[in-house]
Amino acid sequence: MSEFVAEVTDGNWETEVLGSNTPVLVDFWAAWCGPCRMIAPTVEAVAEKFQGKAKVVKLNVDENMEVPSTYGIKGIPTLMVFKNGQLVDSHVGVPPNAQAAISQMIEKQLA
Amino acid sequence: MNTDYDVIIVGGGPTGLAAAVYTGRALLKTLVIEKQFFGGQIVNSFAIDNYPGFADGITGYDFTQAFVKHAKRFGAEVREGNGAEKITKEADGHFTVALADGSAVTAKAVILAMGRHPRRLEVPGYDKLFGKGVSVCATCDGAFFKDVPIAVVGGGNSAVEEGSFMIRYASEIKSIHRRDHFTAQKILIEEYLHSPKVRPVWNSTVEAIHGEKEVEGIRIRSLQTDKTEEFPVKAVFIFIGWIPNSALVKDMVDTDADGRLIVNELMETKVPGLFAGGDLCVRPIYQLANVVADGVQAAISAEKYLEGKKH
Repeated sequence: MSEFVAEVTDGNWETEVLGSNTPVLVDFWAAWCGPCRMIAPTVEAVAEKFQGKAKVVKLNVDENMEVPSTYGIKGIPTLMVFKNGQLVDSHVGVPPNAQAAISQMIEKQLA
Repeated sequence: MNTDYDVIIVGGGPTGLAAAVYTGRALLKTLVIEKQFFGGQIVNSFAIDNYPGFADGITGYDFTQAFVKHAKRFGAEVREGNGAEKITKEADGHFTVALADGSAVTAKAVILAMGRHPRRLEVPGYDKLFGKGVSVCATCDGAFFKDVPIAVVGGGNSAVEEGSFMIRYASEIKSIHRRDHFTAQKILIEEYLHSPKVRPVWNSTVEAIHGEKEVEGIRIRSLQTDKTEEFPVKAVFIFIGWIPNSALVKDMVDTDADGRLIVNELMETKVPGLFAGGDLCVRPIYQLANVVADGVQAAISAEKYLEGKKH
């Protein structure tokens, strides 16, 4: 269980993501996706770095169908950033130099 | 000359990690740098079934975890998510590797193992619909296409292996290849074509990918009759070859017309102290076992090179 990255679901999406008063980075993943598992520690590190300033959560696309379908997700890992309930940024796949790239996705929304 | 490391290995896939096991065991101070994540392309593999000794197969993820642990066990330092931006050979013979985070590290020898990335399909719709049905990784994206028709493009090992993985999800697979037969390993082809879901479309290329928010279809053109045909597929999985990740060093070493590094049987490039192996290079085959062997050879060649420098 990761310490800094909470698991969100279709059920608590509204309150945890759309209703958050800080920006939220969502990591859409599944256990069968090798690259998703490879970047999990990096997402965790980013979450720790932004503790208190932004929220980092993950959503398992195997167990939750509604949210991925709402946002048209057809590939993972997909990273999305939400601010004030709106989707403001997204990236499909693992970006090179991921820690810096993912951090930047959040930083842009904090500026 | 004082350097941070004896050997820097650029690239943390099977070749780089194999090299790190060997340089570590040779008691050389070793750093492995990886721009994305360890394992490289092998992480996309749902089941590695052709690596001798793993009778029941192993996932690319589990294989990589074990491999990184193995490299670390013999002292290699590993850094993930921070790629090499520039490699320079200095006047006194040592190498400086500038990293994406702005730092730089130095070593007496460098092993290049940057691998390769999938070739893009240069057709309208590819960029717009990437991640919206256009995919280069069936194990990442396959489950989003349950009970719908899809297309697989290509005819080599990757295309047939990933196409076979999609049999469990898709309702129908149009398997599009520009030749009249697949070039993958026979056992893979047999399994693949055995499925009634798989419909080969020979001698054809994809001309366009349609869709606004997601893939809605493709247009193919027959290379024999020049006729076009529309297929209403929801996804296109593309495996049409590879591009070597050699941009970083193309001005330092010899490459072939495709940009692959030319190395000798000792994994030496033309630059003393600079070794290379694996998917990045011109190799007779591109299998996990032989790219691992490349890493082993590069490590031993680097070790001998460093011994020679002491005298």
